[in-house]
Amino acid sequence: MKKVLVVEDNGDNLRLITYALRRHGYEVISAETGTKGVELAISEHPAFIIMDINLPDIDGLETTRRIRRSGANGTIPIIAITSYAMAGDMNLVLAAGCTGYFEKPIDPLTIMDKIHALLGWPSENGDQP
Amino acid sequence: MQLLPRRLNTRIILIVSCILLATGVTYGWMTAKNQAAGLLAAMRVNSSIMVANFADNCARYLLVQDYAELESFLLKSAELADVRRLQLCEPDGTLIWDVTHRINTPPRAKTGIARIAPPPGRSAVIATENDLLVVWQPVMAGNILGWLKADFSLSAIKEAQSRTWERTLLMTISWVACSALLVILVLRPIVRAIKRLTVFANQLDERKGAQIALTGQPLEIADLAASLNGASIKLLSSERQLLDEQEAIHIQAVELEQEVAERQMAQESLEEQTIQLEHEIEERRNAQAELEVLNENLTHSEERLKEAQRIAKLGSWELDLVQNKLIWSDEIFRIFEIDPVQFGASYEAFLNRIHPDDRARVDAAYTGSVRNRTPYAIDHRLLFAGDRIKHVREQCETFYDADGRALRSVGTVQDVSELKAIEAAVRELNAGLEKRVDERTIELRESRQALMNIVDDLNRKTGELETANAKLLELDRLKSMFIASMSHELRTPLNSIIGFSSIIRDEWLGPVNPEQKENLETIQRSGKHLLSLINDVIDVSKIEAGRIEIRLEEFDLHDLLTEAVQYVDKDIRDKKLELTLKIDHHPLCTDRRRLLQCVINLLSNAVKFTERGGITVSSAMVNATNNPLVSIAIGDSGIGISREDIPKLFVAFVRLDSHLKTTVPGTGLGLYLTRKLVVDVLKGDIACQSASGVGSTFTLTIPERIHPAAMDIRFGEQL
Repeated sequence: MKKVLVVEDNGDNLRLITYALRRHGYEVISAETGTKGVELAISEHPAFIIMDINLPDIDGLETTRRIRRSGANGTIPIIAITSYAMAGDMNLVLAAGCTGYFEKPIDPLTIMDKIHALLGWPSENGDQP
Repeated sequence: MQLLPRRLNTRIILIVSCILLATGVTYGWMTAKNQAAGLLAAMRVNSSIMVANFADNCARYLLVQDYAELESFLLKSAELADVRRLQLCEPDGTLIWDVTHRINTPPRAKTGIARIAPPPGRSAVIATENDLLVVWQPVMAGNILGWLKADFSLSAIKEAQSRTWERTLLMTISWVACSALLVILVLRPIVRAIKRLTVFANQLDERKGAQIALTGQPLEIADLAASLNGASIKLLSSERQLLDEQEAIHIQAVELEQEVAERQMAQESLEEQTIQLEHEIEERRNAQAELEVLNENLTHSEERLKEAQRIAKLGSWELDLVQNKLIWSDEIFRIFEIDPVQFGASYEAFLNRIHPDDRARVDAAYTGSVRNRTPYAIDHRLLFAGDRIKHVREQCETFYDADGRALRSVGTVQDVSELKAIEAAVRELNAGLEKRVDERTIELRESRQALMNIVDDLNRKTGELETANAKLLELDRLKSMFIASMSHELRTPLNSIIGFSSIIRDEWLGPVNPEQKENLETIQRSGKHLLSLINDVIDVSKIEAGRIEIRLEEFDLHDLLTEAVQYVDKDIRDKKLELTLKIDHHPLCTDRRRLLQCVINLLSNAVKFTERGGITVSSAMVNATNNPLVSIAIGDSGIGISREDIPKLFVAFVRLDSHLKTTVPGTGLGLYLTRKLVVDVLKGDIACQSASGVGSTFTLTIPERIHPAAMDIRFGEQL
């Protein structure tokens, strides 16, 4: 089972994403802070990372930079979740090292299609649990 | 060309060396020559004796024919140092023995058949050939038995000669060296003395009369020093003489200059006097001419004075206090209305004319003025028959001699009746004016007070307004903050509501019955509606605050419209409407996200208000010369909009009445926001064509490209 790291401080959003990921056959590990996220990214070797930008300690951009700098995960795909109010800062997101991004709200029914499209992976691997 | 060096030392050394060298060489040559001649002579004698001896011995051996002994004898003889060769031959020259002796090798003898040529006669012959001394000696025993030829080396002589040369050369060189040293030693003090003398001579003109002392120098140098000393003294005395002469010349020159200057001055003053005299003559001439003119003018002036007095009603008088004589001008007679023929000028006549009430005052003024020596001016009245009154102004000044006695009084009398009348009128007018000014001042003061009250009111109100404005700004800031926090705080829970309800509805967590599913759909729909309402409110507030940003992107029109259609695709299929696309590929550069939002808004409106028929999306290029435009039209066959409602379409929070109003969700913000976005962000315009019951077409017309430079600066900020 492929492991996915979700860095998200909002429990509801985390649960929604977790539902969607599990439904598509992924194992979900999560971190509620950026620092924890960096640790897990290094120790757990996830297949990809979903990164909220608004985090309580260091923000998602800095978390991404640290993961990229850590070396072990230099090329791991990182998908950012951005808020509607952040429109215009997308270049910052990509400059920090994110592979791609999608905007809130999180629609559990379509999120995996979006993620797979951003990763460049085929999306057929999990319409069924 | 200078053959010899100029320095004395070098020159003498060179000359002495040359002489010594020449002497040495000549001596050496002569000595060597003499020596050689001596040696050669001695050698000749020695060798002839030796060879004669050899010949005798040879003769003896030949006679006994003991040839072996002869040979050994010859070999032994040849061993002698200087002997190089011994040859014994027959008288006819046939060689019997030839013994040669090379240095450092023993002599060798050989016999041969060669012939040599013996000298003629029977006596010995000695000759020098090259480096050899050759001696021919006949071998005699009564008859000539043969000839003995002996060669002697002359190298000993040469060696002696060269040794002599060497010695002489060595001696000469040592002489040269000694003489050079001697010359240097002898000449050094002399050269020094000469140098000192040279320096002294160079400084002679600077140090006049200075002396140089030299002791122990050769007489010639001492003589030179003495002459230099003499020259120095002479120089000094001749310079003094020169200075004296210069002084004398200078004095003469100064005297000459003075004389010249004096003469010049005398000449100048003469010229000046002449000029002055000329001026004087000229001036006197001018004065005479002026006097004539003045006389003439005076006559005119008097005439004019009279005329002027008449016009000014100003008469003049003069009282001679010594002779008690009073003179009145014509005008005084006229003012006093006295006939000058009947009455002469008199103080009494004057006093009589004065108004009785003023008489004492005028008299006192005049007498007071004479006593106090001050001029006076007084206004008084004249009284005429029939109580007629004239006002006059009188001024007078009295002149005194050196002892203080009054000589004469001069005065004027002016008829000021008219002036007085005018003065009275002016005074009256002034009084009236002052009164009016006072009245007006009071009025003005009152209005100013009123104005000040108004200004106070205004200031107070301005203050209140400022406070209110500050409050409003604060409220605006709070509103912005509120909206910003709303964007996060409201959307996050809504996200959960929509997200979780859709998971349950899609039966991810287990089966759901149809009624539950319907309710979940309601929750989901309401959440989505609320979310879009919040988004619209945020966009509107951003636009109204001028804080919406423009993000330019290059994209394809066809792609954008396709994406927009996908958003409403499900609803179109659900409502079984027909979708027609007439769209082209065309590159655009504008805010893609906002354009997409506008098109989706219009499309979802079209879907909402269309029950049957279809929706058409079409695009077209509008050819404009420097600003190409693109138009996007979204048409539907829906309920349409009545003509009078069209103006209300783009007003915020207005929803038009229709039978669908209650069933179709809406905020009343959609079209308002769309128009705002099209105009403010996309720099274009939106139009609506519609007929009630037939359908509506909304057309966006926007520029193909927005140039970054054309963007309004306020759009750079962010909420």
